[in-house]
Amino acid sequence: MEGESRVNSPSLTFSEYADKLCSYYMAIGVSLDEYWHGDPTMLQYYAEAHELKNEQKSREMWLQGLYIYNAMSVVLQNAFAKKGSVPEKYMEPVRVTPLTEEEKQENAEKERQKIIADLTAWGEAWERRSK
Amino acid sequence: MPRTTLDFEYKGKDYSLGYDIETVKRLDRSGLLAEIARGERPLTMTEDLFISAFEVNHSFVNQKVRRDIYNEFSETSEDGSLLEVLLEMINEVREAMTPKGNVPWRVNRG
Repeated sequence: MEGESRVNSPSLTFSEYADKLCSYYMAIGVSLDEYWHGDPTMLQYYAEAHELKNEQKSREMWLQGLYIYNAMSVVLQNAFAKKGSVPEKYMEPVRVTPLTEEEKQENAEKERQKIIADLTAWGEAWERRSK
Repeated sequence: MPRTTLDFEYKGKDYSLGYDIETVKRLDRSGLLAEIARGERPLTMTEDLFISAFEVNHSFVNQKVRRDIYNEFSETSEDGSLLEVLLEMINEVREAMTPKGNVPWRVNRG
């Protein structure tokens, strides 16, 4: 057809293809000027960032589902629990950022103290039994 | 990785030629890309592609200067390597703008 090219045989001419993609790139944050006059090789970074954002959103929604599930479970468990039993607590928020060095040391220290306490209790119980 | 550019110095001034989507679209609407895709080789094809590559970074350079530079270029590019580079640069635009796996891409062999 006159005035039309089919570069590498896509079904659209380059002009049609460029027009069609413009709205897609604008939807993921590329400005009109950057799309038409910017470096096209940079567009891939927008597309990759868009995928990462989608992934992040999916994880956030999953986490929200987890919190809701836990909240419902806790409410039901407490509602039907025997009288006098210790009520279930709502879960702590899930940590999504890596622990700092200080926090890691603090956790290791807590773990160490717990082992010492367990061993001490076990030793005392053993002594009582031996007497 | 940034786009491929054709860099050179002419009369003490640095030039960096390249294509953006708008420029390639204009080339397409002029019918030149269609002719190339059909395997035709218009006489002024390389010159037209070369001159249009100024639009991105040197749009204020007038046509006469662009042609003068082209004439000097063509003297040192008789093997068609200039055309090859320009076509590669155009193809790079098309490939770079194609989202990976997001747009339906139909091959028309008819």
